[in-house]
Amino acid sequence: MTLSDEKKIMLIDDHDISLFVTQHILKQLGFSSNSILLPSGFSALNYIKENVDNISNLPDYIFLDINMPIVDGWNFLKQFEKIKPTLSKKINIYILSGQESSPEFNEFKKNGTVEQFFTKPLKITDLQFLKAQN
Amino acid sequence: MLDINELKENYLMDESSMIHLLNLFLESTKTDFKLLKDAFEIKDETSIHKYAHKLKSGAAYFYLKEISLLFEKIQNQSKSKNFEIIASLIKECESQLEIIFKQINKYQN
Repeated sequence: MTLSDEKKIMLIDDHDISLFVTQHILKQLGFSSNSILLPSGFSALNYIKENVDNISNLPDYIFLDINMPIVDGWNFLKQFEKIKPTLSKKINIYILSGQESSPEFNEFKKNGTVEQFFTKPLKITDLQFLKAQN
Repeated sequence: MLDINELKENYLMDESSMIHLLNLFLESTKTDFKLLKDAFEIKDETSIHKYAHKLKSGAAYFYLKEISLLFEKIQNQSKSKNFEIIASLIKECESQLEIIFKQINKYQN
């Protein structure tokens, strides 16, 4: 097991192609064993709420799509900001969207809720920073 | 045109992963394009926007710029309910998808 394998990554996206490609790229970079794939902001919020005290179940990184049904990416972030103080570990959130960056992103970035905005399709080079951090 | 070798290189995929990805594309595009056409039939601009966005996102993963742009135009036209323009855009998409699907089928065989 590599150090990268110990990091847990959550992918939140309702698009199967995006989930498959992102997970595949993560595997190629050595983040293989701990991906959590969720199809909506709603299911991701439920997962996080159920695991607020469980450090090993909470993700270290989240890759978040914006355009999703029921709870979209921006609404996920609004709800996440309310739960954030109760979490037992820091979660770094990255936007992965088909849209261009937007004023909402700048607001969440200013609040320290999100780290960076990536435009789909994700490239191997986009994720090099994960390697550097591990 | 699909450049499968470029995809393999950029996503670091071997043959079996690429076949899986192409199957995902075929399945989801066929399903979502049918849902887009169904939404167009009942002039449901919200669903037209939703499925055009989904199709654009899928096509972007395959670097299919032309058809991505067509889906984006459908998204934009759905906001102003320009159904005549959407009808002709859907036709254009249909012709392009036929070529893309043929290319994928040829690769898989």
